[in-house]
Formats: sequence, structure tokens, C-alpha cells
Amino acid sequence: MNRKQQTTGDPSPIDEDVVMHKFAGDTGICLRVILSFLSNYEAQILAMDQALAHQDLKSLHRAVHTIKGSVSTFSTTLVYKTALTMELMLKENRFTEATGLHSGLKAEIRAFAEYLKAFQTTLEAEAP
Amino acid sequence: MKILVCDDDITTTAYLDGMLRKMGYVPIVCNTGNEALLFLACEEPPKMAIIDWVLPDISGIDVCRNVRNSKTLLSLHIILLTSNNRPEDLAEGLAAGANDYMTKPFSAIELEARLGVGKRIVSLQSEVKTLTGLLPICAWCKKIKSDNQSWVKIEDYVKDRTDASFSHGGCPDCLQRVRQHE
Repeated sequence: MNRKQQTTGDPSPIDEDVVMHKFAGDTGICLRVILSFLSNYEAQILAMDQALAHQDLKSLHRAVHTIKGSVSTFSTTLVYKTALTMELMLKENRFTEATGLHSGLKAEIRAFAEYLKAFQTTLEAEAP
Repeated sequence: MKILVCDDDITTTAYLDGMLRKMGYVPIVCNTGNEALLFLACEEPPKMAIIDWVLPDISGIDVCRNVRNSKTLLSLHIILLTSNNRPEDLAEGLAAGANDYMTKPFSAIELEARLGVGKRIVSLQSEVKTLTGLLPICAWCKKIKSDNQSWVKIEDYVKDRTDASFSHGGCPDCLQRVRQHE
């Protein structure tokens, strides 16, 4: 049984074995980086919301780009792909299409954060 | 070895900070391009830097251009972080003054390998500097004061730091002096 199955039993947005490989097996560093993500993702969502409210294309592009970078530390699946699609649309000035992805991306980020919290608990339980 | 890390995403900087420490480097973390330039302007700047392309004030590309315009930072080894992997983007980054690039997401193995390359280049550059800089030479015996403060023959000094080797002969002036002596 791999880590993914141990944590939730469901298909997950990240492959925890791949993540641990990325962190060279260092649980301590992985936990610190998870904490960084968890302490920051709501601020990133807020930055995206504010940019959208002000119709500020440049700031929205940057906010989505930053979210994509944060998520890519752990995964290049669902959230990453949505952020990437939205970023490309904004780059091509397809503002209306991009904003259509906004709510979905927010929901995916929050679900991703919940998954990371569960992973954090698993890692803490394993830590010596 | 100190390494400047510049990225506005704290998850990425947390990852780089942790991994660099684990690899034995000393990371100095900042979040904007102007902060990066301030850190690089200090008396003993880091010899390597990992800089994100997209930053909130000036871009990573602009940081590279600024660095290459500064005589004191010409040898700084810059790794540009980017999520753009189009050949045109990479060419632009390298033309702006980056030595290398890493496409996000990247792994610890890639990070370590690219830093190893950077470390090797920095080390070679410091050797070259020794040969191009001011060398203390004895006015009488022409020995050179080496890095470990000992005095060595000029040919040994050059041989140790280059691929050059010496063949011994006599110049006309010295040959004439020797003959007069005999």
C-alpha cells in the first residue's frame, strides 16, 4: 500500500511517494513547506479575488501564476492544470473565459489544502 | 557557500530554503527583485543566485540585466526559475544574463545537479581571477606569494593553476652575461 492510500483511501490530488521523492525523503522539510502553503493559500485566493474585483488583468495573472507555482511544489495534477489553463487564458487576454475558471480554481485550492492537512497529519504521526 | 534565493511565493522559498540547507548551502531568501539587488550589492555578495522570472516589482530578467551591468557581479552564477519552457523564453533568459535555468516544478535531484554545475563554474572563475588579479611577487627572486601565504617559484605557481608547462632555456641577455662570467 502506498502513502496515498494510507492517508485517505480515495484517489488523491497528489502522489505522496512522488512528493517525498521531491523532498529527498526529508519529512521535516516537507512538513515545513506544507505549513508554508497552508499559512498562505487563503491570502493567495484573496489576491486573486481582489484582482478580479478590480478587473486588474495584470495582478490576476500574477496571482494565478503564484498559486500555480505554490501548488507545483506538491503536484502537477488537478489544481495545477486549472491554474495553468487560467494563466494561459489571461496571457492571451481571454479575460471572460479565464474568470469562468475562477470559482472552480478556488474550490480546487481549498480541497487541495484539506488534502495537504491530512497528509501533514500522516507525516507527523510517522515522524520520530 | 551562500546562495541568494528570490521568489515571491513563500511555498517555493520554503522548499528551496529547506533543500539548500540540507545540501550544505547557506540560503539568503528574499521576495522581490529590488531586495535581490540590495543583497547582491553588499560587501560579500553570494556567488550563486536562484531567481524567479516573475516577481512583483522588477522581473527576474531585469535582475539578470542589472547584475550583468555591474562589474563586481559579473561572475555571479544565476539560475533563473521559470514555468515557461518555450525555447524563446529560455533564450531570452540566457541572453539577459542567466547562466542556467530550472523549469518549475523541479526535483531535489535536478536542483542539486544544477547547483553542482554552478559551484564548479564559480570555483573555476575564482581560479581564473587569481591569475588575472594582482599577484604579490618578490622583487629579487621573483617568487609569488600563493593563496596559503607561502612563496613559490613563478613556474610552479603558473603550472598549478593552468595547463601550461615550462621548458628551460636561456634568453640572449642572460646567455651573454653567463658567458662573460665564465
